Amino acid sequence: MRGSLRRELWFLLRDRHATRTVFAALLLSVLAIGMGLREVEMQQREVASLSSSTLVDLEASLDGQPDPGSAAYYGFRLVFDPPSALAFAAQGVRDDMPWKHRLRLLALEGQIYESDPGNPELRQAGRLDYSFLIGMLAPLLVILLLYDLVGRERRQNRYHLLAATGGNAETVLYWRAGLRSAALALALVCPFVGAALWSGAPGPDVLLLAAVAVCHISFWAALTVGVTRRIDSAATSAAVLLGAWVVAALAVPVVAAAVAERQYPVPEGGEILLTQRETVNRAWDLPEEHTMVAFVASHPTWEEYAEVSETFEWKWYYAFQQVGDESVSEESEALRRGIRERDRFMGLASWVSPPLLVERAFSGRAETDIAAYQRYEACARDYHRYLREAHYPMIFGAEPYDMDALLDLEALRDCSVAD
Amino acid sequence: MIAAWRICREEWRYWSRSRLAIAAALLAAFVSVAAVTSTMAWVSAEASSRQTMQTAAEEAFRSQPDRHPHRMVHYGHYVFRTPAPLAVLDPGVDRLTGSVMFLEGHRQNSATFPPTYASPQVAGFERLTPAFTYQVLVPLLLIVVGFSVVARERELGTDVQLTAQGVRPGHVVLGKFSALFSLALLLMAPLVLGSVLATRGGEPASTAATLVFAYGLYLAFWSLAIVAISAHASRPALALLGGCVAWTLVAVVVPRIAADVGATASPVSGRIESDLALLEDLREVGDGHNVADPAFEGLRARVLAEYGAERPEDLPVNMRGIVAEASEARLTEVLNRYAEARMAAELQQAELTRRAAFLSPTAALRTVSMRTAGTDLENHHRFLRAAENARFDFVQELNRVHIQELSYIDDVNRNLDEASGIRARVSADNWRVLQSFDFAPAAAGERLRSAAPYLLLLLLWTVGTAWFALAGVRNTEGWLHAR
Repeated sequence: MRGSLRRELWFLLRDRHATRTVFAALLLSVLAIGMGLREVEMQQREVASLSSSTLVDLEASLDGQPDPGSAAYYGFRLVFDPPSALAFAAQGVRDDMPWKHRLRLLALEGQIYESDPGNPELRQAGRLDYSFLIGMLAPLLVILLLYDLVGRERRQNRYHLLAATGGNAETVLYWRAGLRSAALALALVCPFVGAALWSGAPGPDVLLLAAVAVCHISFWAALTVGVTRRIDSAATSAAVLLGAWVVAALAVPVVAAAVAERQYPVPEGGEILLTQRETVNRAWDLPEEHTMVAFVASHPTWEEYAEVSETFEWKWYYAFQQVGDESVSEESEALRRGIRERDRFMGLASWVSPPLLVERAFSGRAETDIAAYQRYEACARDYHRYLREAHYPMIFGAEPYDMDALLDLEALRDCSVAD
Repeated sequence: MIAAWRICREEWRYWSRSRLAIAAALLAAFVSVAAVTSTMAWVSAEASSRQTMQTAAEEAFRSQPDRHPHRMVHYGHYVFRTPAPLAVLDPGVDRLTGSVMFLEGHRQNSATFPPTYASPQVAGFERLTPAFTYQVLVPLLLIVVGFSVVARERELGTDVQLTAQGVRPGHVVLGKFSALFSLALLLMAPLVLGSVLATRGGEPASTAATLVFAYGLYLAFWSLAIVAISAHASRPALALLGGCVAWTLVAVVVPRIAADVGATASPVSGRIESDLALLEDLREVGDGHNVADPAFEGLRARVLAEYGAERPEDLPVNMRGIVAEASEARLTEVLNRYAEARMAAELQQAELTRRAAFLSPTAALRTVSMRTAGTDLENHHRFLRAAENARFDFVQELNRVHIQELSYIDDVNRNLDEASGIRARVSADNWRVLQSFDFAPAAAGERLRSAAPYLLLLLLWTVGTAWFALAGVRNTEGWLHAR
């Protein structure tokens, strides 16, 4: 056995095609991880600078505000979800979905969909992150590395010789394929493990993802060996494998997404915005009691403070903001539910598309998937609720206006440490 | 010439007997039809729903009751971006940028709800658009169909026979290329149909034709590249390998790395971050709601002097409206300065990324395609500017109503009681000032001019590859012997 290993290692090192492929894999892996780490670092820097400037801005804008209503109107606070230790490996939906908001006490539905995405033309090109490398490109590398193993021996008429000397041609073939896949897996996975441990990712997650990567490579290696053994021509078997790749990596996800969209309709985002704005603005033309009755119905705590005597009072203003939010809460919940259901469906579909499964495993562990986005959104909503509850006693007059107390409120919420 | 024609016909005959070639060609045909029909359905549904919401938003604004004019400034308005007609072939950045924007006084909001907002995440590759299909998928399937065009002849020794019959390398390249390219042209049928339909939807024929031409040129590049790689490879399997590596680099890896390089080399700060800096500057503009804000002292004095009045109450116009109008103008100047700086920085990133066209014809075509279709970054910026103009126009129109239609005394006393609140309203007829928002991409000439350099680059790629193919065939054994 050791003899086989040594011989195959020798062959591998002397095979220019194989060493080049493995080297290219290593290069791509280092490149993808380097770009990912840089992106994470930029995001971390952004969070740090936003945090400090939010504090400065808050103090400046609260300064001299005559009443709690104006203080709430002008005071913006920050809620954010910093990149996880594994985010470098999978950007996931963080490119498309918001992960930071500057919020104030106005209607949340008007604020929560604001996003701060990067340059659209750059995002349109797509990202070469590590999960893309492992999910989409690694199968191609495996095919390149292994498609010609049998063909070459047959071509050079060594196949039967091999069978005679090595004892069993199949065993030799498996040794060869196994060793080459292992070299490829090492080249692809080692940089990841190093970078993940360096950035402080939890050990079990790193181990799990490394195992996922190795399994994915093994799956394609097994498929390649299986196909090349059955088809005589190396070129034909490579073409068949490429076809399998197109189906698994492209066709299945795209078809599944189309089915998911048809199966789980979501309310139009624009409609939510329009409805919410109508409710908020109609309040100005209705008698104040109308708003206050609706408000007190869902927030009985404030019943005894709900009387509005002047033509403009902040408590009425914030009450109709909240009533506006509540007027679309069903649609808004339906939108989130639809997104969740579509994502669940994609999760099921991923069982017939290994590349999709791998990317989902990575973005799941890296907390950059839809579920993580929805956790963040829930956290931002929770933070907004906290701000409302903290301001209402002063706005409704149950407590005296105290600027220091408002400045003492949590001005930055880091959603990664919540729950 | 006849030799080239025969070679082409023979290649087709070979494919018709190869299950692999038939399967790959059928897959490509299926995918391109699916991409064009599904994207057309999706974009036109998106367009009509945005158009409906746009009309609804305008109706809602115009049918508001009598109100204080400044209330309407805060009531605000929504604009929706209707996709360009050619977006059915290349949605470009349309998928990733917000489709709806809330316009209100004193603020520039960002566009929210990109079409991707609720769409399921398909790992890695974008959705099946015609652009993606013809830029990325079709070349790969062409490689699978045609990798062996020359390498096969060499492996079987038939290249020697060809030489013996006096066939020249140019004929071989032409013949093999014609076979592959005619297949590519067949596969382009859905794209051609889509662009014809786009001209029905108001797209000028020049841009629609240029788009088809660019994709044709790009597939000609790949057809030649496949012949070239096949001619340089010693065995069919190596030809497939070479094609695959070239495809991975050219169509997948280089464009993505270029995007990352663009983002790294000239970083653009996030919107929230620049908004914070902007707020600093805005504090100096003064609060337009507060007629007594010291920032407007000069303005107040000037207006009083102009009318020879002592107090605002004596003016025939409303001082609060004048202050609001002036403050909106000053503030917008600051907002626009930031917005323009941001757009310039984004453009710089994009320009850097587009240079990948020198390394990858796919990157070149991507730029040509988005620019011709009017779905590139510049057209997104165009939408942002159009929306900002719409915002500024309706806000200032309302401020003019505020100045002329509402008396200062009623205005100041609006919060005394209910009756005075009603007195401080103006007629709903004034809400008709809202112009309909109708966004269209840049004119055809402008789009074509901006696409031209990249189209030229694509042409150079194609010519260079033709030469490379010819050199490859000349080097095959048959012709080496003949020389």
